[in-house]
Amino acid sequence: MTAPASGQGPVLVLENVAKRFGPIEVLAGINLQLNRGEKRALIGPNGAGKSTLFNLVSGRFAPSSGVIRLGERRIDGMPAHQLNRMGLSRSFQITQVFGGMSLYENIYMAVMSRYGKRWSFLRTGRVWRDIAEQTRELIAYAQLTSLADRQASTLAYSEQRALEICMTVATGPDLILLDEPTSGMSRAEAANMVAFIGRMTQGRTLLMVEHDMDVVFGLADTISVLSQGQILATGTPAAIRDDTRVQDAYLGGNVH
Amino acid sequence: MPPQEQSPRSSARVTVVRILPIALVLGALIGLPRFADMAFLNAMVMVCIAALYAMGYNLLWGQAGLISFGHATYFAFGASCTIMTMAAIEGGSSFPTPLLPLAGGAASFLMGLVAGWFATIRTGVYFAMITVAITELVRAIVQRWDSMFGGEAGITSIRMAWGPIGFQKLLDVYYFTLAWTIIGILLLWFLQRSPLGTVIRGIREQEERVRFLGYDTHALKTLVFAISAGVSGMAGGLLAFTNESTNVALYEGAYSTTVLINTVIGGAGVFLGPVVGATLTTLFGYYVANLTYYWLLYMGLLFMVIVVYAPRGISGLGVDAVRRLRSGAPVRWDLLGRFALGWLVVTIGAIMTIELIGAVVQPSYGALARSSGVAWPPVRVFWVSWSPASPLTLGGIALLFGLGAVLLRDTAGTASRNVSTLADAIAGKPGPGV
Amino acid sequence: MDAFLVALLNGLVYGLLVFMVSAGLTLVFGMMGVLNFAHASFYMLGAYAAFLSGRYVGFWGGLVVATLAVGLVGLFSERLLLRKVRSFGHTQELLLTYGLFFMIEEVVKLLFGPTPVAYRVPDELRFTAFTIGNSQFPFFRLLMGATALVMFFGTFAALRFTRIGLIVRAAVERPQMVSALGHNVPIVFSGLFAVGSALAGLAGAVAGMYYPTSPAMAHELGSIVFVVVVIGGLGSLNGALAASLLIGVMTSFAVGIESTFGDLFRALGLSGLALPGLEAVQFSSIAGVLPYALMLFVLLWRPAGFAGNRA
Ligand SMILES: Nc1ncnc2c1ncn2[C@@H]1O[C@H](COP(=O)(O)OP(=O)(O)O)[C@@H](O)[C@H]1O
Ligand SMILES: [Mg+2]
Repeated sequence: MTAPASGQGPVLVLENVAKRFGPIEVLAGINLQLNRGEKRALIGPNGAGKSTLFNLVSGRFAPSSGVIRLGERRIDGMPAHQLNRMGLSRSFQITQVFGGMSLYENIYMAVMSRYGKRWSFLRTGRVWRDIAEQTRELIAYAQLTSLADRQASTLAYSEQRALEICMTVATGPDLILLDEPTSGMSRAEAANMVAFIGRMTQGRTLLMVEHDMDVVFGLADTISVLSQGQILATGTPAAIRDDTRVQDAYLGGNVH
Repeated sequence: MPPQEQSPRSSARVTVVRILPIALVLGALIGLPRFADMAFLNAMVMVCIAALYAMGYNLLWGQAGLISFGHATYFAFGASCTIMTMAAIEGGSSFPTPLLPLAGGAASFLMGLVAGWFATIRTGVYFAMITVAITELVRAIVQRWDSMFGGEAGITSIRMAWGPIGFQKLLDVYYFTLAWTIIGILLLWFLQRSPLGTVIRGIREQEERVRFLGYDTHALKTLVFAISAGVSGMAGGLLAFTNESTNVALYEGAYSTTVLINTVIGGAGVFLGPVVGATLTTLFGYYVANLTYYWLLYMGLLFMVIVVYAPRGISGLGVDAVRRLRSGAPVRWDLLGRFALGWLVVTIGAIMTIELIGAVVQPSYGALARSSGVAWPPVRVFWVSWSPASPLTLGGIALLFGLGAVLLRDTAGTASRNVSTLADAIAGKPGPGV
Repeated sequence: MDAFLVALLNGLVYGLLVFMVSAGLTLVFGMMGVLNFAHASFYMLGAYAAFLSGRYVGFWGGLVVATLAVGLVGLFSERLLLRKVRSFGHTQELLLTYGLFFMIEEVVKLLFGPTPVAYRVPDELRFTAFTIGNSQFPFFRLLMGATALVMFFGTFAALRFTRIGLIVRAAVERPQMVSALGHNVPIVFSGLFAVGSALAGLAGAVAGMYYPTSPAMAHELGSIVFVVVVIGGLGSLNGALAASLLIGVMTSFAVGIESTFGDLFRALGLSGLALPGLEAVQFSSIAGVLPYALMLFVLLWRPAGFAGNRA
């Protein structure tokens, strides 16, 4: 695994980002900054706009207004594939793996993209050895080697989630976005997932949406609370836990 | 969407099982001119062209999951550009005759880049509709641009010799077409196995995921569309080469329909499925079409039956059958026989019905009735004269359909059950209601 | 000015006609995601049904018979065929309706031959409705336009003010939600399919007396209707109306332009660009190209169509 490129300044900056769907303003003036190596969790009640925020940052939609920066470059409105090439990778709340392919092929496709082999008709040259090797190494690191030849659609749900995260990491991103990585899992599976994500995202910048507070406290070093389209508070887990506004808006009310 | 068969494992035995039939077929094709008469050789040239066309078409469908309803454009454009190049050779150009299909392929590839760029902006049924509209657009232009595309009369040219090869004998044309068809299919085979092929299948399964892995899926789909158009254009080029002429009628919807029907009948989910469909319909067309005016109607019926009862086409049925046979289950010949008999009876009934109605509604039939004084003059179907309105004829047809309904009674439910019933029958598992 | 008005009226009438066929297609599509390739075949069937029955029940009776008969054909197609392949997904549905489109054309050829039949405007309707300047506007054109208008307001009112209309609108927006609320979506859908087919049949019955009634009718209008659905946006009646009228008017005006491509090239200072033979081609002769060109333009400008917000 390559270490993320070192550099100064924040990795991700959102300035006054807003998103409207027709008349509904889902996000209203979001300001957010993520420093290199930071692990940030985004929490908030259902419908707060967390997935929408992810979709804006990862290039699924363009924001209605505001500026998003990845490092030095403005990225709002950029297509997803370009963002990925610039070092931003995301997972999906609803698992999106290639069910008809083996787990190995799933990862292989991600690694191919990282090596810039996006149009290849031929499989000649050293680079293909490197790609295969990288794929195998990554699968081994993720402790999925025993499943490598299995067709993805036959994997158990938690295994598919692991594959999804492994693919997300395999394109070699600096910034990783995970949307509810443990949704739909049992407590034991979620606990395993925390360890898995910790291992897979070591040394990288992480932004994740999560409902499960155990997962949040296990992985994040800072938390932002999103409520009604705005960032209510940002701080360390301890600080957020003690914040009365947050308790009112979220934790006190309906913890999922 | 039928997923295309992929085998990650390749043991020696599997290789032999896969290679051997292909080698046999190839050998037969190469040796064919020793045994076949001219008419059959001619038919086989058309089979090759239809097969290559369908294979190019199915790159889009079987691999990328995009169903085009307007591929005639690329087939026809390949033909047009090939004939123009042929005319240029005739006029003294040094373009080598053996590479002519490449001229058509390249032209259609370029057109496919433009058309595909538009069509792949959207997916699913929108893609389908856009392909129809683009075809209409091109057709409207081509059919009015006579000085370029030759209008109704078309363009004619002749095959110029190249070195020792004269290209005058049918034999030359046959081997030439066969060679280019094999080259085209090999190209598609390598594409499917290539890293690019993997990405294309990824797009079919989860396009958005592929995009978020850093691939420009729109550009990739455009490329696939263009390659598909290019191979179709090569097939069109072979047609122009064989016929030494083209016509703007090639741009019409019928040529989009044929390739779609061939692919559905053969099966889009198996690599060589379209070849099976193209071979069947072309050979049938060659030998049966003369016997009836309603050949296209029968094609349509077969198409509908396949769509409803065997969605993966003939090759899909074959693959299922082989797989189940390998699993060691005994064959239920009784069930299989019943299905076969049932379909046979229904087919005969349908042919009788169509031929009788077809004959009776002809204006000439009314004239015959008046001049002969017989209300319902007899009609010949299956070498027998039938009186269309007699109780015997009508009762006979009703009996056929009734018998068919009884024999096929298990298939009266939903289509999904029919398929599994048939597959189970082949594999020897007891079907429902047996 | 007179010519302008007449061209405009002609365009609107043609646009409304296209809309009559598009409306059923886009609603069926919006509700169940089924693109009915055979929809324009129902339009053709309407013309033939009116032609055939008109001999016995007269022109007006023929319109009624055509509407009902085609509605029934639609109903049976949905219940007996489309439903069989539903579980296989949209691809199989699309192929099935394509097969139906193909079969209907072949059956019509079998019964009536490949050339146009003599379905004409009855003599008692061959009169001028009104004149603008010295241009006459024939009654049956007015009839075509009026039928389409009545149908438009009827559909609109039915969707807006009836309970079933409410369900249909809700189903077009959120298909899963409505069945979750306990409405019998399959029955509503069959009904919608039948009504959509019937409207296409009626459109064919009125259009067939003016345009040639031939097996090619389905193909010709079908591709225009697809353009309307692509640029109008999914399941949107308003989008379909806007697109239909735009196409109707555009085509109608283009037919009147007498310039050639050569004139255009000269005007652009490109007379050196001698594409062989293209110079002599008149714009009016390729008026039929305009809808498709419009579609490509809209795809560039707003890929989801005028009113579309779902991909
Ligand atoms: N594509 C869309 N079109 C219209 N509304 C949307 C769309 N995506 C999300 N929304 C709305 O935005 C709000 C926030 O949704 P989302 O970001 O998914 O919330 P969260 O992930 O925090 O649960 C919801 O009310 C949802 O209905
Ligand atoms: Mg969410």
